Amino acid sequence: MATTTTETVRLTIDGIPISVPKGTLVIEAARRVGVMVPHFCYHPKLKPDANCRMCLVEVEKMPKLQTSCSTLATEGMAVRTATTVVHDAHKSVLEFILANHPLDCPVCDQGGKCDLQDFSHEYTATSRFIETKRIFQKEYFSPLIETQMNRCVQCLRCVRYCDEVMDVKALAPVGRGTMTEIKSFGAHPLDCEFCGGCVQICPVGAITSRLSMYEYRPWMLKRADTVCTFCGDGCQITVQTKDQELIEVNSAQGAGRNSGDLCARGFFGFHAASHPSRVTHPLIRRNGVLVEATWEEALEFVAEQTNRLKLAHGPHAFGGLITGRCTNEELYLFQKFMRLTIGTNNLDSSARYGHVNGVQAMRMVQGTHRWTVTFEDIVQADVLLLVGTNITEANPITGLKVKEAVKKHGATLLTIEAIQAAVGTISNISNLSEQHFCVAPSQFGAAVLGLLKAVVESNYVDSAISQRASDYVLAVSQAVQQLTWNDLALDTGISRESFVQMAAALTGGRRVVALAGQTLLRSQGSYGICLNLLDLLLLTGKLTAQGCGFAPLAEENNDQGAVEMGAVAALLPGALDLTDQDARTQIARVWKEDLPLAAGATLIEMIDRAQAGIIKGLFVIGENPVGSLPPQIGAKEALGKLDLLVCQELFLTETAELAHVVLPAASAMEKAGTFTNTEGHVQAVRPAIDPVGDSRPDWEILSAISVFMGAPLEYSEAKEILKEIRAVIPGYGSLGPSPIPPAVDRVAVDRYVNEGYRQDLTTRYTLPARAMRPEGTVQLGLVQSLFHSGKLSTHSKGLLQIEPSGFLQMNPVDAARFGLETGDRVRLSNGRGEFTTTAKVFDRVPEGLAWFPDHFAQAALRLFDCAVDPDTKVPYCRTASVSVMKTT
Amino acid sequence: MLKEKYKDEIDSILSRYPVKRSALIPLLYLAQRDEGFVSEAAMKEIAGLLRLTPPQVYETATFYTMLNLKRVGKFHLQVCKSLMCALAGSDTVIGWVKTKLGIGPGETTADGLFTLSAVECLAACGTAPMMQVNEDYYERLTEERFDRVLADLKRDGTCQLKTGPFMWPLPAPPAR
Amino acid sequence: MLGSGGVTVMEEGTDMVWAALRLMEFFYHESCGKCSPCREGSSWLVQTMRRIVAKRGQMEDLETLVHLCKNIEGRTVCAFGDASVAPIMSTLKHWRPEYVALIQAAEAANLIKLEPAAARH
Repeated sequence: MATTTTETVRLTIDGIPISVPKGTLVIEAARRVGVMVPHFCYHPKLKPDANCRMCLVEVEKMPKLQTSCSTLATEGMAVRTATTVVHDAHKSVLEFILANHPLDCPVCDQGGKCDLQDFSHEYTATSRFIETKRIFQKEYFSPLIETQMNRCVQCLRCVRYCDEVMDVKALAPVGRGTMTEIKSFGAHPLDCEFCGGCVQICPVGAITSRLSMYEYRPWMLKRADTVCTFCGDGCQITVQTKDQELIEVNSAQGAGRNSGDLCARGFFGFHAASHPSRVTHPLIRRNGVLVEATWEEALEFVAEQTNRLKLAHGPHAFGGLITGRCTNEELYLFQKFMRLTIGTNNLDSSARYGHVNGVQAMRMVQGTHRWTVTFEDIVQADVLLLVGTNITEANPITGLKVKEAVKKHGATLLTIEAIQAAVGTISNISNLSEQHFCVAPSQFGAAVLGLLKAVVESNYVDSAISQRASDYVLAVSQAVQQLTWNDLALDTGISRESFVQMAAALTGGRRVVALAGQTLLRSQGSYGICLNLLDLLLLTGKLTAQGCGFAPLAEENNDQGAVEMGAVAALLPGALDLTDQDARTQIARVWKEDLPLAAGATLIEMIDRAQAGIIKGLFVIGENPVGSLPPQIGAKEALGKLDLLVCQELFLTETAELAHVVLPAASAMEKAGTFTNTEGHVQAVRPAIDPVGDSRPDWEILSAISVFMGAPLEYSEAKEILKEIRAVIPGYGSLGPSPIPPAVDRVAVDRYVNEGYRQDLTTRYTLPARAMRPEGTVQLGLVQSLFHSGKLSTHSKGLLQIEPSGFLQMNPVDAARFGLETGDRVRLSNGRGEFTTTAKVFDRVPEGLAWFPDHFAQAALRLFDCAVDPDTKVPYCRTASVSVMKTT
Repeated sequence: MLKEKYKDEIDSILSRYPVKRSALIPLLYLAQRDEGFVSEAAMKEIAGLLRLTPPQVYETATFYTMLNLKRVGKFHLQVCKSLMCALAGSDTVIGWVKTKLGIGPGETTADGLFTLSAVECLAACGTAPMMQVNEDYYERLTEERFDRVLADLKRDGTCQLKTGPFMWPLPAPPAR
Repeated sequence: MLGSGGVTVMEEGTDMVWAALRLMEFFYHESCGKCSPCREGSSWLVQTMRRIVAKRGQMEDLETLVHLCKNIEGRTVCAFGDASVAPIMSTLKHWRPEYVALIQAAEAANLIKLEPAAARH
């Protein structure tokens, strides 16, 4: 539980008086008055270990020197850090630490940013050590992470980080005494999350990145603070470059929403932008082949064709798709281009794949399109409910906040996940759960209904809501009474007692945050399940209370921005309804033109309309419907029928291969703008390198097309677009160190409990179809891997070293049932087709399910069908029942 | 697999500790008793039993020198070389091993019967010089007693001269 | 005081530097390695002691030994560090001439050809 004490103590550091909160360490108090006590093992993220003994200070009335990293500041304490005694102690400890440290600074990658080097200079260290230095034999090389144990000072920061922060426990101090070596297991190379945390936290050059080995000295590099594009968490990264070459990514301790922590994608995935297969020149299809062209030719071609088609078939013969990897400025300009220059609401973004479910549910019940909580609220929560998040893989840094809440502050973690608790090489959030329900994605809905039934039947309903909205409470009560515990148990395998126990834990929490993740948001019925989760919070009084809220996790880095910029068919900038008259007026005032009113087509609807010949021209920016959707949908045939397909892309994707024109787009490493992360925090994106080849930022391309079309949307830089966004959405973007979340809109809640719930309550409170699993089959699920993000990361050489291809991941029990072992070839088939791959036995996969990483799933997609959500039009195509057969 | 072979014993070890991880060392000893050393497979299995990662088990297994991570001879001669034994002639004992078995510290005889280790204090200073063979102590070593130990071990696999160890809990008296 | 609180009776004529080394070997082996002064100090002390016993010592070593012991004492996490320096501190105090004799023997034999301490890689 979070302790927010305001009690302070006063002490002096070298005579300087200071007042600090009770519980502050002396080393931290010293830092506040600008006194840096030298240290190796101390790190603000880790529990004090006091093993390096470098931070010794004198404390009045204490007989011996004290380690300032493990001594708490107390009232009236007088600390001295600059006496001769302290200086001599530091110098002597440094002499010990240097005794076995090799003098290999000239070939050490840490040189120039090494604590040991800096302190040696500071104390003009000389050594009397004339014995033989300790030498470790190097037994193996790990992928991506280089270990040079001769340089190790045994501060154990890496080991402690791997355990305390990451909960991975892949590193251990092996051996004893001076021969203590940081290792994983035996002579096996490191197999872990590769978050790079050990590389970042190592104070010396013992653990370094292999991607940038021997490449540079820190002072040779240019730095750009920007935002990672590999998930919705919005981590701040510092991209370091040398002569337009991407060298290294790191994140300063305490920086950004991630406070300096990264995952494998953020730390090792940065090479995607500099992949040699980038499209670097505009391409125009001539005689059936895409050939290089100049920007003028390409833009002229696009403008001419667009004007011609618009004249012949009207604006609604066009559609547009954009990826949530684009900046807010680009998303905004894209929808303006579609709505104004073209004149249609046929536009959609990757938020449609799932994020829209969470957003629409929030809009429906609480009247916001954003979280009403922040990462800080997650850390300070006393009860956390995770539903279908697979958080450690899909949103690893939000996952760290959950880990911090549980491990550091003792929060109660409740999980409903399609994951089995198991210790593995990467962390598993259900290992930290107080109570964990392992259910298949198809039964998340049943599990949430079970909780609602338990809340109602155990009288956990908040009295305030009962009084305020008795009809609503009655309707929910009646709805859950229709469900039987027996059916719920058959669907989920969870007993009434367990549901009641979890409901009690949830109700008993003071600060409760419910997180809904990608697995849920992309599963059938997820919009209804999100509404039910909001019902759960509302009924238990946890929706409006301080520190409580609902937090759906965004998959793409700017899915939230896509919704807020109005880059989805039914929403205007500000995530307001297309029909909202005030919003339309406000926008029309800025745009000096009216916007179309006709409801637009969403992703799947656009594909259908292209198939039917209604849509004739499509602008696709960074999206790849042909590669991402199952062939059953017929995206390839539909797009093949278009008269004009314009793709703005980094790579020649399956969709871009069909295009009439491919325009080379700049990646996020090459442009400026803003991203809005999953918690609604707007952060600055800064270019680290110049656009590769002839590529240009997407906003610039859209602007150029509009100019060639004779209806110019002209901006000289991205900032000008942000200015316009702020005119349309007043005050958009805080750009501060932390977001200010909106409050739940009471009016909206009243509207929901009086009227809104009636629409679909009966449908939502019906159990989903029971999962049938005939003998010889498993439920195959497409999942997000920790080491990849969409298809973009499959261009990153670092990440490919860890996960070069897809494997069918299967529970040991199922594997035994099918006679499979890791490495065996396996054929999956169903009525729609078949697919052969390699099996991998994996403890965390629940029995009856099998996983395949989405990122390598092109050939597997044919096994999947697609259902479209009737309310939010989200395509659900991530599970399929398949027969499993071992093959050779 | 230890789990199948020693199910009851493992259950009883696990039941002794409120925190699962505490059973780590007893289980490592069990593994060592089974194979003569602690293998990687055993460490992985123990990690699974205790819900630890293999590196966490490896950390402990490498810290304690009484756990062998490599195969040793059938009889592991651990001669104390700390000061008290040294004063009483432990170097001589190591010399006997060298002349009689032809091995130095860290080496194993060709027949795989004996491995010699020179170890630090085994807490039997009053009866120095001494050595530990597998789990048993042999104290007040003289060349004659030492020869008898070797001969008995070779012939019977045990020797009446053994004196320990005295561990808690004491083994239950044989049932009548 | 040589260490851990036990009483040891030694024969007159026992080489006290050798005895101190044996005790130091024990402490070096037992040092868990958690904190720097004890971990690095014990290995350093044991190496220097081995050199002196092997008649490859030099006079400066005696001063270094005292400094190292003092730098370990009172600066470690647990009391093991304090105990580990006792054998050398006590023997240097009471049997310093034995150390000096060994070093003088070394100097006489002109055996001090120390290799530089640079790492071998």
